[in-house]
Amino acid sequence: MEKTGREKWVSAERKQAAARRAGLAAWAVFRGVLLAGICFVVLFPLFSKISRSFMAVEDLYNLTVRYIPAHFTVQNYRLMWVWMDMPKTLLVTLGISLLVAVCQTASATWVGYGFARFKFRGRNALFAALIVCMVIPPDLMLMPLYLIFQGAGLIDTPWPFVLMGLTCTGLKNGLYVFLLRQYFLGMPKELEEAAYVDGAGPLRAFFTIMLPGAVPMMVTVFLFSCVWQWLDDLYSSVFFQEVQTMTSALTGLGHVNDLSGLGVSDPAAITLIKYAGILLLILPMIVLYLFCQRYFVESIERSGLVG
Amino acid sequence: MVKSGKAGGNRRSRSLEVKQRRMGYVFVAPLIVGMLVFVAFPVIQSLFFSFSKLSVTASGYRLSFLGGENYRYLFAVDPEFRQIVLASLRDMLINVPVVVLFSFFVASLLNQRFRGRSIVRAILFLPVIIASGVVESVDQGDQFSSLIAAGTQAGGGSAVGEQLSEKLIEYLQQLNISPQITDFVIDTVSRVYEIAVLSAVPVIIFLAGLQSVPSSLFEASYMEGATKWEVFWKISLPMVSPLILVAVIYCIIDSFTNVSNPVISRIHSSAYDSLNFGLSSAMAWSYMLLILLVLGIVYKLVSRHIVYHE
Repeated sequence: MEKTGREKWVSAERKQAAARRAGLAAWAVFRGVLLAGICFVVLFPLFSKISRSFMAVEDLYNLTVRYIPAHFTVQNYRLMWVWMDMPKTLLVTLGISLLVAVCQTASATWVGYGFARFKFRGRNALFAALIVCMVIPPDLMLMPLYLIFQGAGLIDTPWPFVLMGLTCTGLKNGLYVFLLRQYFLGMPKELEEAAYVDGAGPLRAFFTIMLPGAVPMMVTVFLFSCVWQWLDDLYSSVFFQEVQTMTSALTGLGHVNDLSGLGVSDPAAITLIKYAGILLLILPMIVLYLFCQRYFVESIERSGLVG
Repeated sequence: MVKSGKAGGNRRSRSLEVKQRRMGYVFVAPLIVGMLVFVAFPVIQSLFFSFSKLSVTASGYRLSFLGGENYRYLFAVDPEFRQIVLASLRDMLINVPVVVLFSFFVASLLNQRFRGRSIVRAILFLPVIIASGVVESVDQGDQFSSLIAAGTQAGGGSAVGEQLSEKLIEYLQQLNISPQITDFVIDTVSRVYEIAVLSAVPVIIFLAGLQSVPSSLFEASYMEGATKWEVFWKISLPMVSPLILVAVIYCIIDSFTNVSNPVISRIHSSAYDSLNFGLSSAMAWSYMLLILLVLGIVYKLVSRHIVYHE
């Protein structure tokens, strides 16, 4: 009697477990299909650009060629390399991106710590102003900014970027201050208090204790800043009139529809060259991102943005 | 001597407060300088521009006062401006709920453990690089590339969505659902690439939130026999609700100010193509006030439903 009751119970339990496992498996399949679909949607345009950038013009007119070039060629890249004045443009862009990233990371860390740990009058108002800054259409400020820097004779020098970066008013700088503030808020206060008890001042506590702890977030902000400066075509098109960056070389191409300088006039050929140009622009950033992405996503997760 | 003995503790804490305040100013000083020189000054100057006609001369520029002429032109004469502002408002109203829901859903998927999770995360963030303003403007400025996209479904990502939606239209028409719903679904599906692009940053914001929910909470509720459904509604959602506000605000700002927004490109082109800086400033100012108004309303509405723990 008791044995059968127990058996019944066991078999019911087993059935339940089986149902649960089936449910989990179905869920896993559904999740897999869904995420694979989204990844496909994101990656597809990139892959099609890559494949087209290696095609010769004949392949575009050939309807049987879809994704795999029949006439594989690096000619598009070679032409784009010349058009963009390559090694020089690449180095200029790299230099300005790294410079801006250093300035923005340094200032955002400094200011973010101030917001996170010190009470002073006007703190909330200043923070609100920082958020409002993110809403101002950049075009609103471009002309006055241009006039300021032109008056100071700083056009075509890196100074506008450095000055705006150091004062937290550069490209998307409000976001970086916000991220670092949240990160510092998430770090335990006891760390600094211990340092204060040991007789350290606030500066020393900041440099020796908080700064090393904030390195993951600083790397993240550095990457954001570097990528967005690399891809920026607004500030660099205004502050650089003569100096050419990767983006200004490319956007020039968007308007000029013939590359007569290169002896190419077929619109189809120009399209293929443009794909090569887009890839030259984004490839360094994709490589940078793939190397650092692990660090990057996890440090944002650890920033404890909830607050 | 006597004084310090009497009020020692009090004075020490007060001097600490003063010191704190002073240090606070030291830390935010760069921001204050930047705000005054590179934000407040240009913004106010552009307000003056918006009431005048700015003509560029050899020695610099000259302003002639116009009064509200630029604004009158924008709202009473210009046939296009009101339309594109309303269109971008409409786009925002459609995009933001879809993007927030989508990214919250994707983030909760990515918060579960499965193989290849880190690869999927890396891919989902790629649009920030691939779909940046420059790439899109080069892509769209080219007539031939849209031809390719239409001909062989290989150009932009939107082609994938359009393919999907053609199939979907057939099914939905057979199902006899009301046309509004059908239109909405079709519109969403055909913009699946755009939505995936807009969701890149919100997904990270939500992931951050979900990761910071203590796992003991989930374990406890499963022990008590809660179903996944209940855990989602009673724990995950309230715990990340502060971040829903952050994500909503990010999405609104992103939708209003990204480079492909028609109003932003109009502001830009009227400044740099037709060199009408006064009109451009008037546009930018009225647009910025609209965004702030929308943000204020949304903030009020959303923050009422937010649960702050602790």
